[in-house]
Amino acid sequence: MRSLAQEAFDALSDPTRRRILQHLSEDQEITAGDIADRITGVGRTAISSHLRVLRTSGLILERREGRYRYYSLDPEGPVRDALAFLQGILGSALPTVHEETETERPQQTRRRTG
Amino acid sequence: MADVALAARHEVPMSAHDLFDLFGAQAGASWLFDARCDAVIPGAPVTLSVPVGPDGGDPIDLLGRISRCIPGRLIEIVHDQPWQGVLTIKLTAVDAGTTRVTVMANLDERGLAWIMRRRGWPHDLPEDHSVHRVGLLTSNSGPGAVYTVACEHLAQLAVDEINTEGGLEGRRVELVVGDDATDPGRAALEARHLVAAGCRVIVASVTSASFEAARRAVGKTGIPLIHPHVNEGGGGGDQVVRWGERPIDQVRAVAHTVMRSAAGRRWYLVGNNYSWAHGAHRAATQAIDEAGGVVVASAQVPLGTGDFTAVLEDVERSGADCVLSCLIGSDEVAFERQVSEAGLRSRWETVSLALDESSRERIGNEAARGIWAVFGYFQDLDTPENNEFLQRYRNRFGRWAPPVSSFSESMYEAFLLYAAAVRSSGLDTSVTQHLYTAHARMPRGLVSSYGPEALRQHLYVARSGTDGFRLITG
Repeated sequence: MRSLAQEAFDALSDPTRRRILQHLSEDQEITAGDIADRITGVGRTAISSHLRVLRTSGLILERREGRYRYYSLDPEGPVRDALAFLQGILGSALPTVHEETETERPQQTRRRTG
Repeated sequence: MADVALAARHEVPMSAHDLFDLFGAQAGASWLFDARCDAVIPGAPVTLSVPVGPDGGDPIDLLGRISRCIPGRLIEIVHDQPWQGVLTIKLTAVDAGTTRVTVMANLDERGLAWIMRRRGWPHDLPEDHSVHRVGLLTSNSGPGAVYTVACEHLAQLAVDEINTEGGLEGRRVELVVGDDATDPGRAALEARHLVAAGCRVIVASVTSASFEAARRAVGKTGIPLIHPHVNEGGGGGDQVVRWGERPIDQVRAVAHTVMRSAAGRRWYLVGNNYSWAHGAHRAATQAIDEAGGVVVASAQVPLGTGDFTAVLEDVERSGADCVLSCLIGSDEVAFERQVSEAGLRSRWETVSLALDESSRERIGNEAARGIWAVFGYFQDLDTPENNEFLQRYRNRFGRWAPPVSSFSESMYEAFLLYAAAVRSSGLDTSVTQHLYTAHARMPRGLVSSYGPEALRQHLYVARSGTDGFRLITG
């Protein structure tokens, strides 16, 4: 038995699964067939098993309607939440340049207080 | 290291070199560019205050060091706390006055697990009977994160070595880590999680306040709970084992030398307001008295204190010749830097009971110069077993891994002593009984446990020098 983080990590470490997530982030909800059409070089059976890994690791949701299965990113799942949180932190890591900092040369002395 | 990467990109109306100079300049640019570091060169320790709360509040310190640096183009930071990962800043000139900045974060599975836990998601690890799980309760965040920085590495090194020798009871040993955030309430919660995950032992690298909370939470669950580093003693027995240096022995080892160096015998005691520092102040008062000194005043401040102006004024007023610090982690770093910035370093001699290699390098070579420390282990200990140990550590974790200290080396020891106890235990002797009488040659030298609350070891006195500790006695 593995923890959710371990499963999610395995899910995210695979390049095909990352491509699937990329497509799912561009569209709200798509079928397994649409995903297989967009990802060339990977068979439909393999796509199905990748989707199963993504679902069990809490990254995506599956909805059945008739004979179709629709997939979407799980907006409230723990992994999405953790990654969105880290993405938010990274977004605020980029420098905001104010008028003052543009004209004022940065100080050369480094200070820190631990 | 297999990892996942996230990136953010943005164009900034500044030249790449001006932007590079902005890093570490404390100009209010962003949490990343306002890095606290003494130099932007490979190897320099870096502290980043990452805003994690709503509205950018509640920052946590990300502790790392610069691993690569190309002026005007790239800064790479390898970090160890609160999770292990790499942050890369790439600067690409779009034109003379515009630069594209890419910030990339790489993290591994444990990093992802840490963030999920901190976001409040349940993190129950299902029991797995195919492995022998061992728990490390440590402080990945909060003021204690500075001195525990290498503890996870050293625990992992011990686990790797135990597995190389065939694991325990025919099973692979797996390390599970809990972060107490330097908070006793959280320590109790994380200790329960480690027990629920099936850990067969918990080794704790946390404050005595957190250890006591963990003891109350899981001390009667039948699994050994070990506190292997510096502590004030007490609370041992049954499954609870407390090793580590004791304040009275540390102060006895150094008091005479320091008073001679100060040409004075008046002492000021400063510490964080919790059980270890209380016990250390009591023990220090006795040891100082035995050595012919006198305690003239003392101060206790809450954990997480960053401004020591009032304390420094009080020390000056007291006319102390010697200062004994029982501050820990980021508090100790802030205090010693402020002593130095105020030009007070040569005004008195300083002994610090928790100044390890990691705290020392974050204070900085210049600001820490001359501070006295007493431990059973220093990274600069020049013995064949220590040199070989450090080589194994560097081979496993690389040149940018944090320095080893008495705190982290004691984690390595505790897991090895636990493994030896498991291998020796049988139907009529328990693991705990073997822990009470454990003895072995370790990187620090010969250690022998006697009972649940003491470990015999040699103590070394050292002074902070130009690039590390200089051993004075031993």
